[in-house]
Amino acid sequence: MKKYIRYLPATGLLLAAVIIAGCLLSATFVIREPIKFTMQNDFYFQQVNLTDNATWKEHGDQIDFIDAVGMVLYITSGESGNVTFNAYVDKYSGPSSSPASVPTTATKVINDLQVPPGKTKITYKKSLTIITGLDRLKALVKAGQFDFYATSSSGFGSSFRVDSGEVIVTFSAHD
Amino acid sequence: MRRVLLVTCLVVLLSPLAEAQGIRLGVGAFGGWNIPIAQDDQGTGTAFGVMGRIRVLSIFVAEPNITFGKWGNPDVIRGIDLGIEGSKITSYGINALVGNLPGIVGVKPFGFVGASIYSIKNDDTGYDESKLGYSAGLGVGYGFAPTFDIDIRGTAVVAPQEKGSKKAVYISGGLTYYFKVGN
Repeated sequence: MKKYIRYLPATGLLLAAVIIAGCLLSATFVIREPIKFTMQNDFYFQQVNLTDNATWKEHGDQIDFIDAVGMVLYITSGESGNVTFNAYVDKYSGPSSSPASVPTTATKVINDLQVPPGKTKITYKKSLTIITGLDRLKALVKAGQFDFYATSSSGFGSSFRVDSGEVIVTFSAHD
Repeated sequence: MRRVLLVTCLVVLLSPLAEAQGIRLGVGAFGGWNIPIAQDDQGTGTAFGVMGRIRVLSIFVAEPNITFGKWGNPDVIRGIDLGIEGSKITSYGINALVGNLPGIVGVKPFGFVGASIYSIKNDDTGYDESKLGYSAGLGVGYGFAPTFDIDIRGTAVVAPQEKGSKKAVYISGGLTYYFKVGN
């Protein structure tokens, strides 16, 4: 009898595995997309394309919901005082888009972030506390592609620049 | 495997029920590992809680319980260090067990299914969902005395969300003290 009983915990885990495997219709994934802004007529612009990501290619058509969207930003400011930084998102405007300003339909996702002189890193965790317009942002992320704009109060592209960054998306999808 | 299941059923069904006479109610506490399944943004954490144990029929036990769980901080995922904490998963509900009867000394295998309200919350991401979910598992108890048991169990948890679900496995151990109620 003891011989059989000692198999019970393992059998329990096996059963749990079978149950979970049977219910494994969804999983949560984390992906990232580099931020590489280009200067377009005195403001930053990028078309973020998640659809090239391998995980997105595999699960992007079965997304249940977007759990979280955050970003990491590395900013350098050569200004003597704080610079006000704003960022916006809007629907993907097509491959040949070359906007000259932030469209009126865009949603502000970073609102008047004060960037001090020198190098600043906005961590993913910090970004979660400052991002606004989250519902629109999640909807655009779910679409896989969106336009990303940024402006600063001074030093555009010269003494103030976004060196690099990432958009980080956590999403749940089913198979 | 069939023989193992058959023996398990026989042990449960032919347990010396007479020894359990008069002991129907217990309280206990448990704790263990909380392993997220297919969740990139969570690490292995802990779960602990309290439960009641009530024998409702000759071989069934109802187990109301409250569980406080927390997943661990996520590992670096494909080079991404999120730097955030794992989500909290709190639940209250009831399990229905076959086996592991109160008041019996010795080895007591059991199986169970459960239903609970699972609340999953992450202070960093703002994620907050609360819905009815379910669980199932197997375990083995050992009665040191008619009034004192320990058990270990594996529990598969499925917590539905707005769409889809979050899943985990709890591996836990518990202690239960029984009261003699009635004759």
